Amino acid sequence: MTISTLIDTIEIQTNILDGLGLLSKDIDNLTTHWKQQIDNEPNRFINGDLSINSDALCNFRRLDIFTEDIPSGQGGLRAAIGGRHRSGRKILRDTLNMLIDRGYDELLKAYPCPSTGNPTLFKYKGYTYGLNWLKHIYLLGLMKDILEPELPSDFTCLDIGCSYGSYSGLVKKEFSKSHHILVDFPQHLLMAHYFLGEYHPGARIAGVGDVAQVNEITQGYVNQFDFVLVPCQIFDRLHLDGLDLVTNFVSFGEMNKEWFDYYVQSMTFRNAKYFFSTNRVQSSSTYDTDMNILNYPIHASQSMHFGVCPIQSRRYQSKKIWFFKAVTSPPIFEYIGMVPDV
Amino acid sequence: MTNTLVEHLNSDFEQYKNFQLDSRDTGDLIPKWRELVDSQLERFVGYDGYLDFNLLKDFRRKQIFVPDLPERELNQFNVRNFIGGQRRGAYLMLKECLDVFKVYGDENLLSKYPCSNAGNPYIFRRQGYSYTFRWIKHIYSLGLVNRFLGDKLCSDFMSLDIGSSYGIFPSLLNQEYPGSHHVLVDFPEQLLLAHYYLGTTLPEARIAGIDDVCMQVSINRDYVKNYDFVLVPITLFEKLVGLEPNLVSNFASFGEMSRKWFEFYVNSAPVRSAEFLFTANRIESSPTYDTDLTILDYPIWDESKVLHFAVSPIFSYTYMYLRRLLFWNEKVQYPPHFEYIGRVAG
Repeated sequence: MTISTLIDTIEIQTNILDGLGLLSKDIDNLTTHWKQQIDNEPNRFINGDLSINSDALCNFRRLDIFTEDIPSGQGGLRAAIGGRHRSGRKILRDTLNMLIDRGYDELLKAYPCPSTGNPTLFKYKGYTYGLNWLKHIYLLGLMKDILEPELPSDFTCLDIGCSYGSYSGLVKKEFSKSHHILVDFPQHLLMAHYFLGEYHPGARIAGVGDVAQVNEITQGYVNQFDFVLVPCQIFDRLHLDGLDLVTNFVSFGEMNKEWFDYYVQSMTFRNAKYFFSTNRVQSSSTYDTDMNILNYPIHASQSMHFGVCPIQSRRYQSKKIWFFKAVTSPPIFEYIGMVPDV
Repeated sequence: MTNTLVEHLNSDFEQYKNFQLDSRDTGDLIPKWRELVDSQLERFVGYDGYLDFNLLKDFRRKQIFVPDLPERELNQFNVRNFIGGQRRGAYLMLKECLDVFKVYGDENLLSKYPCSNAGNPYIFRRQGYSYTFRWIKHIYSLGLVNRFLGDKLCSDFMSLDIGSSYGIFPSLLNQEYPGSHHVLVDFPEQLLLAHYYLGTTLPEARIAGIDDVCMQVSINRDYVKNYDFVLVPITLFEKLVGLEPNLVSNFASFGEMSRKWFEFYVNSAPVRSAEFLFTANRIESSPTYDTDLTILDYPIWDESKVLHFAVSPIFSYTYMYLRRLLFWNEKVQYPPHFEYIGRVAG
């Protein structure tokens, strides 16, 4: 599929969504951060007449639409010597070294960071990457270590808060028979459609507009596709019994309790087999939500892996333009385990 | 130090030997504590086999059993304080932890309870406050008790501090809540230090030392009510019967135990029958400690019982500055800790 055909498809999906009233910004109970994001970010690649700004979409990672990354920006002298950029490079070096220590660099070799969305990338030790890509390589490595022996080859994974789908895209590369259900804001999923369409040419993608016209999303429906894009407002149309894996990376901790309960109390979640999550131990220092680790459906008796996530453990902040200092980032836990019986 | 305290301590040590409480015989310790119990007693016992009170009165300065910052005099002019990477790091760390502490508005407690001189520690002085890193952490914990339990605990409440070390937290609680009673549980060698510390800081306090406790068949609530502090060596923990403490506390020591010891305590009758639990511990004990304990193992997961939960700022958002190439230091983040206050029984 050519880029223009892909963008035409995404434009059709956008119009269907709008017709169904799902492109609305009126999603209730969002934290301030996400309210602002949903108010502003879609306008950066969806025009007022619902046509797609193809230039913006083709550059969505460089423009940091919806999701920020490191490195960001265009480079230049300031990037070379400014404290923020130098600190970013230190984070990128530290994180790559951590991946190498854990032996996950083989995955980075196998799946180098794709250029879809035209990201600004960093070169170090022969690798070319951005921080978000490294995070997902790390998560893929962890998943392989713990869950690969447990999952069937054609497993189905539900990623709640998938962003533009890089984790699902990566997992699909490693496990070619797997199926992926991606849940996020519909506008975000339009970007995911673009990313996955480019990263997996020929993949069978059920776009947001198509999915929004289905009353009941069953395993039979999911099996027809490689990727199924489900807008968050219609998550409750998922009727999946015995789903293999539910993942959530960082976004549960950015929700308020209502949205969190909407997901984790759903039958689809409760009947799933495994849960893989990385989230803040306490959200309130960053987000206006009182979520903390005690709210999560994680239990010692069902745990297969638990730890403090090494990736976000250190941050550097720009100081007086030219300098930077290490600052503590809120700790993030990582958990893989069976979904507890309720 | 009064003669009475000397007599009590000698009597404690006598019974410690008579009852063969030597922690070197304790099994299932993680390597850090194995090394400490093997090596620290001789740092305050003389060649004659008796307690050396000259060493004991400096136990905090000499960092016996538990380290603290500052390790040296940082407030006086000394050129080494400016050029040594480790000393500059310690200064910076103590400065930063006061800044973190002040965010939570408990400066009045730090003014009210300046760092005790017992054990002759190096005390850091800044902005009119006197503290050490260990001291300020306990003042912060006292602030949490005031905020979340102050109106829930009865005036003569009973607390059980597991892993009490030399007893800073129980002593602060006792000063803030004068009618309260405190059971301290730790290695008996640490409790010798606790007896010295409590006896020196609070000379009027009624303390049941190791000698008293050894002679009891069981230690119940009525017994504890006769004292301000009761010092229970870990091997005598099972003497605690019918205690039903109002508060069980544990700071950073459950996470330094093997799973066997951890389960021994959290499944014990005194803990399970307690009214409230207050704990601050590592979210994940490894790789710092050779134990696989994580936050998942703690008895804190019933949401209906939580009164307070957070990432502990005083434990987690301060930095260590490790010496690097003599004159420099490297900023290292502490492993993150959680803090929890909640109901246990009922």
